[in-house]
Amino acid sequence: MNFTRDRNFLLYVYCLLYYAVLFFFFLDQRLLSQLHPVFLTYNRDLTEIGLISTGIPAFIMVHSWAALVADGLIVLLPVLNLVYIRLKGCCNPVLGVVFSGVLSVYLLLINLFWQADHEPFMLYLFLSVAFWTNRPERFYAVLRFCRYYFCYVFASAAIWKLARGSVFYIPQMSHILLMHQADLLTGPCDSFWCGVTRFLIGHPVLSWGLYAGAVALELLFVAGFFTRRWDRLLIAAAVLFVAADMWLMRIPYWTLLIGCVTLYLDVRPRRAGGIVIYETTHHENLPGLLDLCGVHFEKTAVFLRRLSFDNLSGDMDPQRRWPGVLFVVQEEGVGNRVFIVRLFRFLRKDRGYTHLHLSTLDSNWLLFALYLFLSPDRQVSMTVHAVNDYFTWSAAGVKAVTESLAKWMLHRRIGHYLFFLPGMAEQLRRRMSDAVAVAIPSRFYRGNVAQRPEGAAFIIVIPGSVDPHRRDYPAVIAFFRQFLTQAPLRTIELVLLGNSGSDYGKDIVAQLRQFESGRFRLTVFDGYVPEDEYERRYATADLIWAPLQPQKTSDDRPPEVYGRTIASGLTADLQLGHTPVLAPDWLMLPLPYSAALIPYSSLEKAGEMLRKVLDEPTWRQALSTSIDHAFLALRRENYDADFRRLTRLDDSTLTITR
Amino acid sequence: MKGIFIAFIVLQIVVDLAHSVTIFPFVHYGMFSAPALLPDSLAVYRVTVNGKPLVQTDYRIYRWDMITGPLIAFDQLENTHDFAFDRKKLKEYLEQTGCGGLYRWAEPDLTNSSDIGRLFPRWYRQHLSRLLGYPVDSLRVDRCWYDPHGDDFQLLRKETYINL
Repeated sequence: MNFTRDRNFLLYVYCLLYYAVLFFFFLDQRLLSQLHPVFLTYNRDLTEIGLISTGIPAFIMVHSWAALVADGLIVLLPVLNLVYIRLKGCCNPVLGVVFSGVLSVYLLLINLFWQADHEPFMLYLFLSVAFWTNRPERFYAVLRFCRYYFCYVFASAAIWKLARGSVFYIPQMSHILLMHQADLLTGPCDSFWCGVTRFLIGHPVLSWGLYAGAVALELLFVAGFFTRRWDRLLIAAAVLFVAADMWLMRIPYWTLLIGCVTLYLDVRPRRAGGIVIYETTHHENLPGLLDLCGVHFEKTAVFLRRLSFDNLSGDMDPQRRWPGVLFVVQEEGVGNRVFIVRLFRFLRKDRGYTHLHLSTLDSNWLLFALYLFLSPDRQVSMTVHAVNDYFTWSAAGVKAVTESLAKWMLHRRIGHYLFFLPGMAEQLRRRMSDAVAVAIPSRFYRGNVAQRPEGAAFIIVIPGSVDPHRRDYPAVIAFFRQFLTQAPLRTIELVLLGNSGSDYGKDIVAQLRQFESGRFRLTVFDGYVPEDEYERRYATADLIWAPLQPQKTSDDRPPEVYGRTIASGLTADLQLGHTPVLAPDWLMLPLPYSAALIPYSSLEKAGEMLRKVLDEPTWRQALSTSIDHAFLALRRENYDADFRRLTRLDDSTLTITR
Repeated sequence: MKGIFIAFIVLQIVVDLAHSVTIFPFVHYGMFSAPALLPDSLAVYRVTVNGKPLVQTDYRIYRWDMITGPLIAFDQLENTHDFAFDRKKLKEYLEQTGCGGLYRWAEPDLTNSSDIGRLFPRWYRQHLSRLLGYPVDSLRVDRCWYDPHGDDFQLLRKETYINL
C-alpha cells in the first residue's frame, strides 16, 4: 500500500461524490440558504435535541445570512482541504477537524429542517476523519473502521429484517411498494415504472423474492467482517443493491457508495513478510538479490525457469545455498503465460508476499502491465537490463505495439528500479526524475579466493556466447594471428566460455583452430555451459578477455552502450574471482570494477599487455591482490541501504512494518 | 486509536438495539425491517399549482421529496402539537437525572414558532415557486385518503389542506 497515493485517491473520490451530493442539493433547493426554513422537526435523535437546545437552528431560521454561512462552509472547507493537501503534500489537522465538525452540524441541521436522514451520509463524516492525520497507520485505521462501518450498514439492515421477521412475511414487499409508492399509484398510473410497481404489488411472491434477494445481498456483507477476499464482490453487491433501491423503491441511496472506496483500497496492516522475484533467463543476476532478500525479508519466492534454477549457483544446490527461499520452477513444456498467471495467482492467494521484483522482463510485457495495473497496492520494483530499450516506442508490428503500451503503463506503475551499474541508474534518473534507481551488483564478492598454482598453460577466458552483436571475435582472430607470430614463453589456452554452436560461432572456432599448435590451444563449448562448469573455468583463468563491441546492436532493439545503458555479463562475472580483465579502453566501469581492468586502445596495445601479464607473474599477482582488496567493497552489507530504498522498506508512507 | 473504534462500534450496537432513539453519529439502519402491515387508509397529498396538479413522475426523486416532504413534516408537527410528547419525555428524563435546570435553560429553543400554522402555507408557496422555477399564483393542497386494499385505490376522503 502506498499512503500518498491512497490518500490522494480517497481525497479525489471523496470530493467527487461529496460535491455530487451538494450539486443535487443545490438543484433541489436543499441547501439551507435556498430552503429558508421556518420550522424544525424532532427525529428522536438525542444529539439533534442537543443541537436544538443550543438555539443554533432557531437562529438560522431567523437569520438567513447564517444559513448562507453554513452553506459557504460546507462548500468551501473540502476545497480548502484539497488545495492544502495538493500544495503542501500533507493534511492540515485543524482544517480536517473543523470540516468534520461543520459537516456533523450541517447533517443535523438538514435532518431537522428537511428530514434528510443521516444514514446515507454518515460515511462522509467518518471518512473525513481520515484527513485529520498525516500518519499512515492512523489514516489506514480510519479506512479500516469505515470499511467495517460500511459492512455494518448492510449487515445490520439484513439482521434487523431477519430479527423482526419481515423477511418471512410474504406480502412484505408488495405492501412496502404500496405504501411507499402511494403518490405514484394513486396518480395517473400511465408510466412504465407505475406499471412495474403495480405488477409487483399484484404478485406478492415475486416481489417477496426481490425483498429476500435484497436481504441476501445485504447479508453478504457479514463476510466483510471476516475476510477481504470478497471485497470486489461486495462492491458489486453494493452497487446492485443501490441501483435496485433507486429503480424499484425510488430511494436515492447512491450517496452510500462512497463506502466502496474502503473496499477498493487495501487497508490491511501488513508485515513486509515476503518478496516474490520473477526471473527468466538471466539467472546470473539473482545471487545478489537473493542474498539481500534473505536478510531483509521474512520469506522469498522465486519464479524462474528450469534452466535458470539448475544454473543459479555453480558451487552448490540453490536450495542449500538459500535455504529459506521457495523456488517455483517453470518446467519444460509449461507456457510462459501459464507460468505468469500462476505467479499472480500465487501473489493473490498469499497476501504475505507484499513485494514483487521483476528481475528480467523480456516477453509478455503487456500481461505483466495489466496484472500490475489490477493490483495497485503491491510494491513493485524491476531490474532494467537495457535502458534505451525501456524507453523505446515502436509500432512495427503487434508485438512492438503491445510492448510499447506495456512500457507506458509500467512507467506509471513502477517507480523503483535496480541496475547493475551506477551509470545505468543515472541514465534512468535523467529520463524518470521521480524514479528511485539503485545500483546493486548481481552477485557479491565472497573474497578469499585461493590463488591458483601456476599451471603449464596460461589460460585466457573469453566469457559469453559467441555472438557477433556483443563481442568483436574477428578482432580476437586478428589478434592471435599477429600475437602468435612470436612464440610466447608459455602455452596459451584460449577458452571461449559460452555457446559457440551457432553458425557464426562455428566459423569463428574454425578460424581460431588454424592457430592451434604446441603454444596455442583452443577450448570451446557446443551448447549452453552449465553454471558449475562456467564458474570452474572462470576460476582457473589467468586472464579474462572482454573484446566487447562498443554498442550492443540488435535487429529489433535500439543500440545500447556498454557501461552506460547496458551492463555486460562481465559485471556479474568479475566477482567470481579477482582475475584481471583485458578490455577495450572505452569501457568505463566505476570503482571497484575498474580495478580489475587492463585497458587497451588497440590490438597492438592488447598484445603488449598480454605479454606483460604472461612474462611478469609478480606483476600479475600484485594486480590480483589489488583487485581482491578493491572488490571487498562489493560486500552485501554495503548495499543493504540501497536495497531497502529499492523495496521501500524504510519508507514511512508505506504502512509496512517488520 | 483501536480502543476508540471498538468503543464506537460497541456504542453503535447499543444504540442500534435501542432502535426508537438514536444519538448521532450512532444511527440506525433498520429501514423497512418491520413487517409492513397495511393501514386502513393511505394518506396522499395532492398539490395543484396554478390549476395544474403536480405528478410524481414529472420530477426527480429528490425534487418530489422536496415537494411532499415539508407537507408531511408539517403534518407531523401539527399532529404531535409541535412534538409535545418528545419534549415531555425529555423533560422527565432530565428531571429524573437531576438535570431539570438544563431543560429549563433550553426550553425556549425547543419549540417552533407559535405562529407556524399561519406562516407555513405562505412559506410553502414561496418554497414551491423556488423549486419549480416559476411563480405560484395559486396553490391548492388536498389531503386524500385511499383504500389500499382494493386494486383501484378508491378515494375514501379528501380535504383541502392549503388553498392560496
